[in-house]
Amino acid sequence: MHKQRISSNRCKPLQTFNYHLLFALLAAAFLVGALAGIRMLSRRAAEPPSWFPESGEAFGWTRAGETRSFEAADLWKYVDGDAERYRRFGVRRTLTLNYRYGETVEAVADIHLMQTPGNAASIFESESSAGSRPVALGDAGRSYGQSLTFRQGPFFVRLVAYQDVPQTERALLSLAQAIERRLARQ
Amino acid sequence: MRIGPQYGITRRGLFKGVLAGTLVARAAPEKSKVVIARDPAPGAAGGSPDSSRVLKMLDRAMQSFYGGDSPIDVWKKVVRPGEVIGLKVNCLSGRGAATNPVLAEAICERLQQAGIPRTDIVIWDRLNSDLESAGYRVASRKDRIRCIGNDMAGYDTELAVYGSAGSLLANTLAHTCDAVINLPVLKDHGIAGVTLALKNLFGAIHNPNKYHTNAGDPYVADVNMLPPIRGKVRLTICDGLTAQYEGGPSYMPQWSWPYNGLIVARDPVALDYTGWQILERKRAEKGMKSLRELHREPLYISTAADSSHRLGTNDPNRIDVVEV
Repeated sequence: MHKQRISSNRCKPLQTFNYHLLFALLAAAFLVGALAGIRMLSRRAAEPPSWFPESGEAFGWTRAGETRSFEAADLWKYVDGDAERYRRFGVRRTLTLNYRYGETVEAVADIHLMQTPGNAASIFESESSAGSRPVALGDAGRSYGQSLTFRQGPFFVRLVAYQDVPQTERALLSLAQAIERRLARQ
Repeated sequence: MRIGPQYGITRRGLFKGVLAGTLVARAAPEKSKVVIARDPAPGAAGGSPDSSRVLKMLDRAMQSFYGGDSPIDVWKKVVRPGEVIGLKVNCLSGRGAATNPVLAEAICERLQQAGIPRTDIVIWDRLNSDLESAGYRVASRKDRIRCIGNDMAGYDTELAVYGSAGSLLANTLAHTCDAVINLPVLKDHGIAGVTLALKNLFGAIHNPNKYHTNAGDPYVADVNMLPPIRGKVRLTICDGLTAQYEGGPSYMPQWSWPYNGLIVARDPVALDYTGWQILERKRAEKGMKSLRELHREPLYISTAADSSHRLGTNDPNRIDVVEV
């Protein structure tokens, strides 16, 4: 009587298949990981050095959250239809980051990289200066008290504080100066 | 009433009088009512509005609009138990220029008192991140008041089309809600002129970025013609606690001011027209050019009122503004 055996010989193809499969899976995982790593490195290489001051770089200010980045085509996700205005003035990219000044003031810093310094000047000049005073920032700056804008080369920067307390304007100015120093290195 | 020649009233005369009155009533179209409720100082310590004062302002506005003595009964004229009610807030610009959570909470309180369980109330807008940045707590569990963005709830798979508008509608609007209470913010818009009742529904579609050319005209009007929007939006309560007359929709504190008011209407065109005039008056007060002079007039308002849309009226002679 022929006995059916589950012999090692019969198992060998299965084991061989398992090793092959395992090797293939490991190779695929390695490849995916390598590709992801390359993509991440490429993206990091393409990202500009941080334009935003680190916590403590501007006295009293700490970062609050992650930097968000929007290319011109996606800017509407951040500022809705106002993106059209920025695009008309030649925005390339916008980065935004929230900050906190002690326990009293929260603010958002928007840095718009425009196509040219001329574009930055145009969008800066397009905004009303009513209620502002000039401040020595970048190529030109305005302080509205609870907000501040300035332009520097191809950059147009806006800082907006959510609390209007006695130290708001001075604190915003110090944050702006820290951003100005970072942008000057670009 | 006694009829007869001896009383100076004949049947024929009475009939003529009634007929004349009816014709006059038909000839004069009913005015669109817009109620503005204000509070000289609704703020609490720390800068946030005082919730009890906002609730009182809301009650005053609603009771004036719908009539009646009970602030709860008026809500029964807006919603019915068994319906899922959506509150479409405007949080795009984050804190400072968003629908104030205190107002949304006040409305939720009245809705629940009117018989809508919290599980049937949904606060919604475009993105979870927008809601959170405006001070809302995102909550998707169905055993509580939900607060979700379209990025979580998703969009309908069928394209809704009217005129120049072709969009996927937010599932919250298309499928979840039976009725929507529209909660825009009183502010200007750098492209469209103003962003009020009609434009707030851009947050209900997947592609608002496509509709800002030509100052949003006719897109804003066309989007509001999409059947789920036209059919489900029952009421607009415009948040004018803090209003903005320049630099919108982004928050620009230098051009914001405490209008301290709520604007209530069923006619979104009348509300938008009224809100526009409020902003223009503030601009004039501040020495700024009008939106028309800047070629930033909200053209979509007259389109929304035209014979192809009939979403409401922008004729000031047909708008009854009541301040309470």
